[in-house]
Amino acid sequence: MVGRTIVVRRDVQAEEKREADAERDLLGSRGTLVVNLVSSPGAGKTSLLAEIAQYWHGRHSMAVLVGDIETDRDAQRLAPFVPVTQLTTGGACHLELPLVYRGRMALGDPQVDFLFIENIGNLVCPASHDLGEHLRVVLLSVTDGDDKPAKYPKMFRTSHALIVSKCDLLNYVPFRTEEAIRDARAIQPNLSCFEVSALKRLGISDLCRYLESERLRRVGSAIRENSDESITT
Amino acid sequence: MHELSLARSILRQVAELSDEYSDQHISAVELEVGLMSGVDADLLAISLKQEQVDLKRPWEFTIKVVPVTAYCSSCQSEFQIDSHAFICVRCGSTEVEVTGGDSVRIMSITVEDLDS
Repeated sequence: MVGRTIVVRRDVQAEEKREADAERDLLGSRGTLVVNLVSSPGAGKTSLLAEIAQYWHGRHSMAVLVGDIETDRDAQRLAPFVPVTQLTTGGACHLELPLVYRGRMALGDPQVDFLFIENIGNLVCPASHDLGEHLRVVLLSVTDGDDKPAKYPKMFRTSHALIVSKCDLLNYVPFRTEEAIRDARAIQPNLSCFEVSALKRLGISDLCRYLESERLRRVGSAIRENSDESITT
Repeated sequence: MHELSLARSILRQVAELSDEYSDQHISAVELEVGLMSGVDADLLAISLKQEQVDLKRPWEFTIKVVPVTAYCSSCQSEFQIDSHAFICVRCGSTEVEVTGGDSVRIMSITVEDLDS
């Protein structure tokens, strides 16, 4: 018996990608820019979010879904500044859309200008999972080492912006910012690059201006249509 | 990535495909793993074998690892990306779009009659 071969050509993650597209469209239609913040562990995602929340206080509304393998420590750290829900994976090294969706619902499905998803600290697996974000932002701390873009190409290829963090430590570590950015841009030429120090509150306003302009560019039509919401609130 | 959960997803999707052929069964599956998919082909093969242990009708499979390919919108050429250099090999432009090698795909299935 000879079998009959049928061409399929199906992307195994096609369903996941469709669901992410639907999420992106839904939140975009409300004028919410969704930002997936990724990095290695300890690069300063939570500290940066606390600074962004304080910078935008009274100007832009935001909420955070913060992912970790264990503990709700990051949610506790952010709670004084911003509505936040902890997503605890119990071992999984990246976030996937169903958990993000449950977190958004647990937070009361907030109508905000910016929804940040702080991913699990990991430069590998989160690169392969679309969470319905409009913007993927990768944080690279100067203590991580400037060779990381070349070592983790997929993460940098799939990101829109690169933030070099902990720049206040540049005098103490052999990190070459220009080389890190050059390597990252060889992989993703359209990468927007920023240098910040959350501890010293440096570079936060430039970064926030970029996020504001990306919101207008990517979901701006929804902001103008929703007349009950003002861009400058 | 997570080869075991991916293997389970492939098994589920192959089962869905087999529903379309009621009097036949799937005997073979051809898979393609892109170099930038984040998936290790050897680990995926081990996971697929493991997950098929309890299947009444396990299928043979092949996994082909494919390079990353891209299209240059400046000079309209298609080329292969080596060493993660996303720059057109012909004109040097960085306006390149990845056209393949960033996913895992079920390329084809082979079906046979149930009584064979």
